[in-house]
Amino acid sequence: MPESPSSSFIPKRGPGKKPASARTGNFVLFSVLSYALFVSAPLASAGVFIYERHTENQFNKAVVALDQAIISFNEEDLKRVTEFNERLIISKSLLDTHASIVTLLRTIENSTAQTVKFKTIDITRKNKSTLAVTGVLSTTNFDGVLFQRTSYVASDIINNPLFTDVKLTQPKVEDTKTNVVTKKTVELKVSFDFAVSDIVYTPAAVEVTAPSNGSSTVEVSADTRETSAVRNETNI
Amino acid sequence: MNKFSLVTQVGMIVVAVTIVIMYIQPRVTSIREIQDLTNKYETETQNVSQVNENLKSKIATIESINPQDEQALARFMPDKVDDIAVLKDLSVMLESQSINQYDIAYKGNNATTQGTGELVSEYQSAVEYLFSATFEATYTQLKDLLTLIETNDYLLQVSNVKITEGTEEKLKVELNLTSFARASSTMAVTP
Repeated sequence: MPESPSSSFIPKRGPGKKPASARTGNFVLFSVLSYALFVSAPLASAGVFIYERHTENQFNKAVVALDQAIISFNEEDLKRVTEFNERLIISKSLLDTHASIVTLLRTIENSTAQTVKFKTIDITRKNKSTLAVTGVLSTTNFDGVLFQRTSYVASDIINNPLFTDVKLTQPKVEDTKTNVVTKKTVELKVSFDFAVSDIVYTPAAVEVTAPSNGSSTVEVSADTRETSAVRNETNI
Repeated sequence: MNKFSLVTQVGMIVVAVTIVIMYIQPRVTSIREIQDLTNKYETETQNVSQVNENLKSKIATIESINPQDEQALARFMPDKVDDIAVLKDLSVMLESQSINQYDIAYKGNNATTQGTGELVSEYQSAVEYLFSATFEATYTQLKDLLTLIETNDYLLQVSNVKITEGTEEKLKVELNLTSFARASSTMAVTP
């Protein structure tokens, strides 16, 4: 006799129930994830710990290297270099602005007319780049003054020539017995500037020889030109 | 699905996240800081090493200079000007031009005359020593003397020269001279 299907030991599936395989799959995935996280976190911690130690070792090596570099730095050497550098810089600055007064006097000689004489001359260093010259000129007529003014104005080296206090002095004494008559004189004050760069000292211009007595002497080519400044000696 | 195993797995995730937050993250931050410091130290080490190399190079350059030239530089720009030695040199220069009647004097220096502790010099960190000379000479003698002064082995800068009428066809000359020394050291070097 056939058995009734309701008597089967296999439970019957209800009509509204879903299949259990999807939930089980999610649960397995969650399980794998949780296990992976649980295992990887300590492993990562161990890795981080080891890498931190490695980084600290590198840092210690860098500190030691810096210490060694600092120890090998020689302060005395730096002082020596600094002093030498200072000497060089100041010396260069001084040499670059080392004006030759001899060159200045020669320039004035070359620019001063034969008939004009300096009675006094005052050369003052105004600053690193400029020398100021003031003086009293003397001549016998106004033509000389005019010529001198033209000469100084035309000069490339003489800057800002200024002529002031021009006065004519008539002779006060006339010696009728010997027929010697004192000439009239025109006197004026003159001032002008020199740029140091125009008259800077150049060592090649002179020849230095060693003296026998220990002091330094210099041979210069004799300037035999009868200059107004030299003539000034006799005038004064 | 077992509820117990679900709680266990959630607990495992919580523990893992806690480990990340409480240990790994601070350690990573610390590692970054150490790496930054290491980079800085390495950079500084390179800088110091570079300075050391440059210093060695400069010292080698200085040592390659002829000792006579180095001595000449020290004479040209001494640490201190010996005013008596300068006056003696001036005297020798004057007498070498047959100028035997003269007055020479040391007028002080800008380090002692200013009194403010600050140097007033156009030339940085240089002390200016001032000297004066008054004499009578011919124009040729004056030019030769000025040439001697210009070619001296230490600088005697003419700061002022005043030429006026003298006696016996000579010129009366008032000369103001300046000599220089490096200011930052007190070691004396006789010019």
